[in-house]
Amino acid sequence: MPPEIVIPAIDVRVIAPMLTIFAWATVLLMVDLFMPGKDRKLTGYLALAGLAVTALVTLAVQPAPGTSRTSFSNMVVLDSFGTTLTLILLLIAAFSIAISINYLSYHNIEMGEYYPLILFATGGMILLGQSTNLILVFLGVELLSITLYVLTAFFYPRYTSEEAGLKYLLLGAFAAGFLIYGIALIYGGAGTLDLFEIGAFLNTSLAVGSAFPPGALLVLIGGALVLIGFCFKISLVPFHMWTPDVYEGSPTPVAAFMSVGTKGAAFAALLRILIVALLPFKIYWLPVLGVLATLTMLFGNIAALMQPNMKRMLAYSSVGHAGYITIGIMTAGTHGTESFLFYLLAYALANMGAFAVLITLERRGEMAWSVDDFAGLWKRYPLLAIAMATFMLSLAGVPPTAGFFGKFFVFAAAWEDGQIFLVFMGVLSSAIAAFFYLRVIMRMFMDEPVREVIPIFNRGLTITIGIAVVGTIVFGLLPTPLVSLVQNSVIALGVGG
Amino acid sequence: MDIFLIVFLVVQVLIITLAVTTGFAYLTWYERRLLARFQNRVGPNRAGPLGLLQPVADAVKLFFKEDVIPTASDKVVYLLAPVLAVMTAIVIWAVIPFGCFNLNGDHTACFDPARRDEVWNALQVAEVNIGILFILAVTSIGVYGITLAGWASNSKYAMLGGIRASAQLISYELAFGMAVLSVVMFGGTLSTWEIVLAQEGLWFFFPLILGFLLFMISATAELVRTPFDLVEAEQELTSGYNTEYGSMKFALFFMSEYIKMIAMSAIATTLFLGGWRFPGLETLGDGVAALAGPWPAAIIVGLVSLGSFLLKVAMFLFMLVWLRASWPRMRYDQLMQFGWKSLLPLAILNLVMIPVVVVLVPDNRYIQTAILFVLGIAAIFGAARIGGRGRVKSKVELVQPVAEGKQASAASSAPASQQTSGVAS
Amino acid sequence: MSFELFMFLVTAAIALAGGVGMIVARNTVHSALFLLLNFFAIAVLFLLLHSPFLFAIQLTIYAGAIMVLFLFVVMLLGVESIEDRTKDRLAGQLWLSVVLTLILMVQAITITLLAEPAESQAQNTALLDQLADPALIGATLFTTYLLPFQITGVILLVGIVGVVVLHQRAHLYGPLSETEREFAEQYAAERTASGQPAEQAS
Repeated sequence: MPPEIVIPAIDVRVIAPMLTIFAWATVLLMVDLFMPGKDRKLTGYLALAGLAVTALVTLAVQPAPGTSRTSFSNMVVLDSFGTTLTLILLLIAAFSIAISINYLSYHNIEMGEYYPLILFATGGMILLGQSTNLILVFLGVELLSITLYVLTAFFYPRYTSEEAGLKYLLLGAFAAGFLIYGIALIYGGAGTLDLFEIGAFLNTSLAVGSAFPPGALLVLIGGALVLIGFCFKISLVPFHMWTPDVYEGSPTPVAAFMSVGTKGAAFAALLRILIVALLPFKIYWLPVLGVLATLTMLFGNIAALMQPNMKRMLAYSSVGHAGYITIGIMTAGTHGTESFLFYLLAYALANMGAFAVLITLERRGEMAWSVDDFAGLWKRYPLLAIAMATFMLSLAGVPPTAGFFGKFFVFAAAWEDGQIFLVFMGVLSSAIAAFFYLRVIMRMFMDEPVREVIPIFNRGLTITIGIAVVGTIVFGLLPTPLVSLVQNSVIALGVGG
Repeated sequence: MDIFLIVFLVVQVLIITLAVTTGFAYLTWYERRLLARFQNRVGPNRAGPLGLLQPVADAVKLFFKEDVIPTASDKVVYLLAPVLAVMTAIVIWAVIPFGCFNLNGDHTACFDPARRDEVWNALQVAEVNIGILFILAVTSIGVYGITLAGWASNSKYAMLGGIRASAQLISYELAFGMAVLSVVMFGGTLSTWEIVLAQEGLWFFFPLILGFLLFMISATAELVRTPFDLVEAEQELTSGYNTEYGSMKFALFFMSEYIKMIAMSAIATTLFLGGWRFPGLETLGDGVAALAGPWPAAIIVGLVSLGSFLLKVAMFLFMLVWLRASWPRMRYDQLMQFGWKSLLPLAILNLVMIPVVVVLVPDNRYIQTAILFVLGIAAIFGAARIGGRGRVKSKVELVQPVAEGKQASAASSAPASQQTSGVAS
Repeated sequence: MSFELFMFLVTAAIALAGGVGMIVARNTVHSALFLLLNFFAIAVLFLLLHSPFLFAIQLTIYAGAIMVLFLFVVMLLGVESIEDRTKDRLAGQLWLSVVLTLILMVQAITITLLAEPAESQAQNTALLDQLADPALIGATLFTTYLLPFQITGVILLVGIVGVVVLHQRAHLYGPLSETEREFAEQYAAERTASGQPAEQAS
């Protein structure tokens, strides 16, 4: 007879957010199947409701400040960092769905499966933010990626969309190879996949002998490979080549979702790996990340400078922003984590808003997204122009927007940590970035319209743009509540189960 | 001792290989005679008594045929394909227990799962703890022979046959695997030996009636026999994947098909009909042991169990021939629809049903069996009803609009329009 | 030389030959078959490690499912050898791959040499036999690794949905309309003009 299997005690609260979102997505798939007619807007609204329910669940199960819960043989942890990140991710997903609802039918690519796929991807992101085991990190990355491969190729008759899907798939598979090989090496060295145990292993094995023990060497090599795998996902230079093409080809809401959601989740997982498991190796990864961040900031912003295509420009700008976020990750020991969360939220608001404005101007069957479309926008649609200007200023980091405080906190944390050079490079690249952000504003306010562009407004877009503008300005003027929120989130990160 | 064991193993393997090869030869005779009966003919009856020498004559004929290798073929793969096909068909036999002849001379150990180590069974080559998985693995590799033969021949018919074969085998492997897994679930083991022992007093046929049906359907598809034999549909594809093969190479494909057929029957016997078990076998062994001692008992149990196994296999073979005699061939789209939309959901239902019943009705195999039997029958009939509902009753209705269009365009020629309307009605 | 070591060396040689053959073969189907050989050899290696379970899984999943699909696609599309392999499209990739392989080998050898000596052979074998028990693997999957197991299920679901979505679109919307084709052509022309690789506008 087979042995009796005793399933260990499970704390469902720990996985409650992702459980809710997965369950909702699965049920939504079935509901969508039996929904009559071709109109799929209801599915979108139901998906939004699912996000709201998930947010409520997240709030209901959030741990007391400074504490954390682990379960499933310590594979997942629920701490306030995870909670805050989950809420930000849910907000991003909600924005993405809100701007998709009319976009899909307008471009004749409406299929009900779109919304459950977004929910699944969000679930994968939440998983990434909470997992403390490398298996789960890998599964989270895969869940997220496989969903996004499909979503990027969603724009059926458009060749660029297929191209984007294929490029993303091939590079994603390539990156997954690095990631899994690195994880295998780490397992070979440390004998465990648990982040806390890897950290403990490194501490003891490095403390024993003066020479480099083989186990720790393996973990070092494996860690480097894992880092490369993540660099693809968060598109750090020189692993960013796919970014502009994929963003340009994919449906605009998906590009918006990817540009903030994927980055946020992958950075969070990387943060946990670096801080919890590989902290003893800080002397090694710090300079590497420093070089990567510098390259990314400079290259991303310089490349964006030359782009006449708004979508590609935003893609390059997202590459540049990945560099700033990397600085936040590097200084995670001190104030980096909070600056990371703040930056992520500010960037999410501004970027989602900018993509939403792009969607209002996007025409059926067109693939231009030219900056020319923005010329003279102020004269015809002043509110839209003001909104876009706000987002551009926030992305450039000009006060009084949330983006300014995001950059400020990141640089402050780096300064405190002694990374003077990085701060200098960051400020320099911000100055470069300001050029092309301000150029858009100039064209909107100073130039005459080049051609007739009729923006499409609908409820989802308007509300998204509205919330994004209000958020950007309010957090720019009154960052204190947000700062206290993210400050509370940091404390639990290092606590082990 | 080690050398002796290895020699023994080699002899065992040789005997089984020879036995299944002979089995193949006489299966062709069996099938042809039976088919003839079904079709009111006599069948082969000239070579030897009852035509029993017919397989020998066939073999001699095939041997003396010219051995042709098409010039445009991929030689190595072309030659490799039949070898692969036969190899996979024969390798399956390694884990099937044909009976229990305990060479330690103790027949009682045959019936006790706890005393597995005391059994040195002459009638099973390898007893591994993953016998079922081995069977699944080898069946899944069986596709290669057919696919590669189709590709390497570099001929349209063969290619189409090969592609059809791979699509079909992949599709039906799912349902096949799931049906087998239901046995694993109910029996609680992956070893073929233990599955046979677990069927003490209760053949799995009864609780797993749904699984049995799924197994038989998907096994027939895996064997590419009627009604699933469109891989070699002679009206469309000449002979399918083996069109370009002649002489012994063709014979090898032929052989692999029939050996697989016997193997599938043997697997079905092992999984669902209690394998070599036969009611009263243990009592018989005990009686002989009391009369004549342990060794005669072991021998008698061995022989009777082998006989019972072969009897059950022959019954399955009869069923397969019967199927071939009575069913028409399916269309390709029907085949895929049936596999993915009917068989697979049923297989999943089966896999869900069993653990639910086993957990909710604990500790009584017979009540579980009764419930599962009723549920299984209900599922079969329900599926048949649902499957039959959407069937298009008459193709003519679909043709009509086209015919009307033709009628409109060719309105001037009255006889033509009359003809079309005649077809439509 | 023990029987086990002999078997290992032979199988490992076959595995390597399969791997090399896969890369060197000109014909895609031959490549696939060499890879199949490699899978078989690795399955046998699992058997030598006293793990019939992994042997069966390796055969079923890699040889029985994945490679069959590969072959199926290659045959269906008829892409056995559409590409002229005589010219290396990425200059120097051969030598780079050789160097990388050497690095990998050095790495593997170093690690093997540096690793602590294993405990007695008999103890290892007993442990292996115990670990290979499929019931134990199942129990571990459902207790310690319950969450990854479930998440894998979600990933598979997403994969299935994705395939259906990508396949269904074409059925729902049919071929390109005239305007869409025009846009595609215009776009391709623009890309060619701007020096970027042109796309097929068919």
